[in-house]
Amino acid sequence: MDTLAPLLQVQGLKVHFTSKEGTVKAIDGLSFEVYPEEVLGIVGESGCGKSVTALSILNVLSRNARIVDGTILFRRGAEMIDIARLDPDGEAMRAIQGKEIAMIFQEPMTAFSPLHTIGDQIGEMIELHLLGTPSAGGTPPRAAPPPKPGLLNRPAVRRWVDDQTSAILGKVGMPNPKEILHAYPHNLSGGMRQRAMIAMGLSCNPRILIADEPTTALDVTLQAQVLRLMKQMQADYHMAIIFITHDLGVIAEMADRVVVMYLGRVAETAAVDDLFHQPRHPYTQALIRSVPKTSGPLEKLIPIEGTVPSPMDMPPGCKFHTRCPQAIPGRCDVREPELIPVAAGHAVACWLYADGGAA
Amino acid sequence: MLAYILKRLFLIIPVLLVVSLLSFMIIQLPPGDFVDAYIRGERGRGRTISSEEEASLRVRFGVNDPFLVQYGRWIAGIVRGDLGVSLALKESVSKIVAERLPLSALISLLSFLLVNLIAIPIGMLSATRQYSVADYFFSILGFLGMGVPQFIFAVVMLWGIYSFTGQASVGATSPEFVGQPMSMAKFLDLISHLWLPALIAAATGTAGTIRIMRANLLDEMEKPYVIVARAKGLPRRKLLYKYPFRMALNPFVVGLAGVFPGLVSGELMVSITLGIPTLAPVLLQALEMQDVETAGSLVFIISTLSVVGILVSDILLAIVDPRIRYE
Amino acid sequence: MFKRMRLRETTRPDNEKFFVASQWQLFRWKFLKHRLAVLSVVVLALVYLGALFAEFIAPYDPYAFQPTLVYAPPQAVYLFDEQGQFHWPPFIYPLKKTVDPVTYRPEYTEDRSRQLPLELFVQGDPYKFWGLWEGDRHLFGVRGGVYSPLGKDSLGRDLFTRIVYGSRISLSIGLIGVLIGFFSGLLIGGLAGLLGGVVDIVIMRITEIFNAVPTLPLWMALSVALPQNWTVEENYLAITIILALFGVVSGASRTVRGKFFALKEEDFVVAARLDGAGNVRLIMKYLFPNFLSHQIADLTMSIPGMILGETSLSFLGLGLQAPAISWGVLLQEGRSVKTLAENPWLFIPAVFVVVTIIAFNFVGDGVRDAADPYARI
Repeated sequence: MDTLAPLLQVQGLKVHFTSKEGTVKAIDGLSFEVYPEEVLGIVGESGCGKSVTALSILNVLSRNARIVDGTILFRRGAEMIDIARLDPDGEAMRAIQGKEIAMIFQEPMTAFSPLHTIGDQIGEMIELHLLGTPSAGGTPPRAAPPPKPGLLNRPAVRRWVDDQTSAILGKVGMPNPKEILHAYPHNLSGGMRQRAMIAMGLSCNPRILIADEPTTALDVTLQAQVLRLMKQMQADYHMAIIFITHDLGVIAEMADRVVVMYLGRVAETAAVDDLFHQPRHPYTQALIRSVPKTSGPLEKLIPIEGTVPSPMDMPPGCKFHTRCPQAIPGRCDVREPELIPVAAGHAVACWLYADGGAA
Repeated sequence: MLAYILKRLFLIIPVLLVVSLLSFMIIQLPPGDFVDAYIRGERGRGRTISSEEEASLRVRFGVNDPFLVQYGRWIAGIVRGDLGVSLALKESVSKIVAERLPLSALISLLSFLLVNLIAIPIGMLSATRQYSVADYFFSILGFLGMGVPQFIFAVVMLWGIYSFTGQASVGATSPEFVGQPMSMAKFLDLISHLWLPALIAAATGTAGTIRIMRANLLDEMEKPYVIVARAKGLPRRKLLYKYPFRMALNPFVVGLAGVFPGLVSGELMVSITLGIPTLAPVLLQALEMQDVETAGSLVFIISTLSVVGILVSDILLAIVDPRIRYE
Repeated sequence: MFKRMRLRETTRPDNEKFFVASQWQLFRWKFLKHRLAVLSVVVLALVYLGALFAEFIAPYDPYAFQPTLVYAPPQAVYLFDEQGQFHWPPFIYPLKKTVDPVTYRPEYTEDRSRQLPLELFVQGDPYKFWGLWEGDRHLFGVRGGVYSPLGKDSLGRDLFTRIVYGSRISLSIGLIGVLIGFFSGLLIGGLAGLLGGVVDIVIMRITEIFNAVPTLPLWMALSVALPQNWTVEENYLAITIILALFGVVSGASRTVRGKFFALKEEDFVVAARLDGAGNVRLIMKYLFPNFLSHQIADLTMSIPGMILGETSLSFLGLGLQAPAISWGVLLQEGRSVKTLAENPWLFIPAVFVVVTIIAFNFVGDGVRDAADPYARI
């Protein structure tokens, strides 16, 4: 997979929030890549900047947030587009949103407008991006070519959009997609809503699908169903998925590669097996230790010591040193470590691995 | 939808019941009753009334009947459209109401429309251009609008009109239309006279509504579904109208129901101050002359106007928001 | 997510102060940030002080009339005389009255031949401060003449004096009414919230109905129904109760009840209940402080409505009647637009009404913002 050119390259990204109390550096020098057709898991505690990362890639940050530095390079054909430089509301950005990069949100109840039908909310995206682009089909191919847009052709357009929408709803396993078109979000169950959300994300065949905690709001049986569905969809649609979660179990099941985030930076990145078998960063190790195992002998769970520092005043040096059992005084609390390659496709931001370790 | 409207209509019954009880209590509240007042009046004219005569009067007018019987008789009268004759105004109350109610309703309706027409766009502007000069300007204007009582506003207006034209009242129609049957020309003339009182009556409500609208929209624009809509790549203007604006409209329409009683009260003060021949000056006149009988009926009718207004805004809300209908 | 981050507690010692601050301290800090609200508090403090010390601050007796000075306009205060000479203390020119031979309207001009210096703590009309202590010193005034800073009314009474005295009724009606509303709202809303079920439904339906009825016609009718032979004090009390009953109570009960229900479901209340906290303890310790701040904000917001109600009623001649002095009663003089156009200063009480109402609105706004612990930044 490393031989392929990356589809998305995030480099040195910094996102700051401004509030009356001061500036919060939610993302502080984040770098990672996404390759075609892979599932990249991003894992970390709540508040580490996972969701902000997702919103930054789609350029839909809230008003008090700003990308202050870094690039988000998205490859479309031969050209590389820097999303961080695009006007968030401009046409170039809107052509990418939904069409090239789509997102599945955490809470489908609040992510859908309660006043519009499911069909309307998914259909408007299909109409926006697929109408008038006959070759947009890709895989899987569209059943019918889109009609010409225009006021006179309105009924035909409506019918086509509805067909497309119900087709995609059927694809994600909705029992009677034609009826769901006219349903409001409050008419659906939680699992159905999340399926509809996934259908919306898939509706324009994006090349990258960002899933931000897509199963957190669901109960366990539904979680498994949704995860299975996403895997299948990834296989069918050949897209890359950025899977954001705090749940290492889900990561182990879904991801090909993993990025472990701590306070707006990458702590460690590796292929999923490497990460679980040979975690290098003390934070990753602590994170894995703190997860209960479902099989094997019962072990004592070890929680991570201390609390996450206040975003208002970050510690100097490595941000984890205040909680790190192996912190080196005079080093970890002074300078921030860069990502250091430790094996093929495995890098870690920790002074323990800097030229010969604790020198 | 029809079921919802029927349900709302049904719910209105207890409201009207309580309102009518309140109004009737107003009639019953002062010491003495109708016969006392009648006898006082006759005495004033130099006629003495014997105690037998008084007793027979009491029987005839049923003033000794239990409260509920008297209330029933009064309500039955209202339902039949018979509101009795006003002692103070020497005229049939039904006739007064028939003449003046349309004007009261028209002003209230006009001010309701004005509240909407002014508050929605300004609220949107303020929210989408938060902390801009326009936002500050309208916020200050809003606070002034909430702070200046309608009658003070009306007096200032009248003062201005008086200094420029020498007219001491606004009136409802131009002199040439007085007594004329309704026509398009008269209606337009009516509107040209009534927009000012309607605007004044609407001032407080508009100011409050702008604040609600702005706050709602600001709230809605930060909601997840707006981020989702942005992530779809929707053109931003379309997005604003389709999602947060629609949502902000909701509590707004609920709030509108609350605006209506205020508009009716405002109409009262404004019409009295500006001398517009609505129900308001008659109510004041009846009250000044201690004609509680007429006053009670008028209070009932004016309150009903407000209740109907609330009903209309509730139905509007149900059209806007599908969730309401399912409740 | 951002919010969660912001609220997370830190263990760093330099931040400790913020976290151990009591609810009241937090409230004060946040309120002081709302500059308009703070300014409004100052304005309100001034008018309320004026009401409190009316006898001393007003230069005259509110009922003392001067037939020779009917409709005298406000008098200017000068620092320089006609020769450009500076004077301290400032002085005024007494008014000279002439009568227009055609319209018979009195016309006033300044008598430039005499200067009356403005003095502090001047001896003037005798009064009984709060009905208890006799005195005759007034904050300011002139000797050997008359000084009316805001002009005189149709009987030649000093308007400023009457505004200061009128503020007693106009300002206290809001406070007393709101207190009545507060306690009855607490009682009714609390009952509905605590008992729930049928009681709740009935109470809520009734308050809903009261919300649907326009208050003004009810107020008008009820204030007329008051017995004619009542004293000013009885009338005042009755009007206050009417205004409160049909203006504040239903709204207050609804918010109390709503808060009650919302808080009942809150995790921290459930937790306290599971910990075995009794009902009374639960209410006093957890529920009460929680909705008290909201209730105060709501009530501050409803004071203007009460002031407005009294003013409107009295303006129409239905509220308080002539011997009583309130801002609404004073405005009655301006009911005829002709009189008003000729003697515009008669409208000055309206300025006091508007300033007071706006100030209360700002304070209410500030209190509400400061009271909400999860307010958006």
